[in-house]
Amino acid sequence: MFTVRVSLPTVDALEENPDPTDYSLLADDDNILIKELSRGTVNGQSKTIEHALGYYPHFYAYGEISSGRFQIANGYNMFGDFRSYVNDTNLYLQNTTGSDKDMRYFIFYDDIPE
Amino acid sequence: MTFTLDLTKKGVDVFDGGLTPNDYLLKLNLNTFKILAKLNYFDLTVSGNPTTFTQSHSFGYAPNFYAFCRFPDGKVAMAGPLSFPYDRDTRVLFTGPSFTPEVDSSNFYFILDKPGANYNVDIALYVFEVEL
Repeated sequence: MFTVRVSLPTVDALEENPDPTDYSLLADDDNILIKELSRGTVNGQSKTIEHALGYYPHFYAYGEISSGRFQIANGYNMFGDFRSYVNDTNLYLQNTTGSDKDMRYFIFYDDIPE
Repeated sequence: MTFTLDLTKKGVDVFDGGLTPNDYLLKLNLNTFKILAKLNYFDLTVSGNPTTFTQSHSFGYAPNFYAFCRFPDGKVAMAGPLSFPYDRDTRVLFTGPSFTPEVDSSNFYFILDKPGANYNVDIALYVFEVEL
């Protein structure tokens, strides 16, 4: 069987039983590498970013809580300053601070439920 | 001539014309999101309400990041404002500690509430590529 291995410095890529932590790329098994679709910044209190993938993609979102300082927009906490969630069409970002804020996002091709 | 290197998952024919990005381990025309650094902090004592642990960095910008926290009961929670890992089973609000990580161009900040007695936590920080 054909495979591709890229090992870290000093590690022999031809070893018989490779440890995944010794490799920057190890295609022997289905190691997960997250593949980026898009990234961006939006400003406001409620924003919708279309990804149109047709499934629920992996994503990260952040809100600028003060100038140059960012907080993870994690989940849909009713008391949090920032919220984020995704469906099969869009990423939804919301800030509840009462004023417009920058929100940064990263959307990946990787299908969360898969 | 354009060179490429595409690696599909097991059992997937790399020459199949109908593949999607989820069929690949690696596809060179898609950016593979990279973790630049991982740091662990052990036995940090939360003694004030709130307590902020500050870790300086030298990126010169606010980097994309993620963090996890291990609480004294051994449960590990993802980062988030007003998370309440002690009570996620009963859904009782505000009686447990919360974990709010933030970042700016100089520091990472790990902010923990202390609703009761002092407690210790471990924190794992992942720093990703690119500026926020």
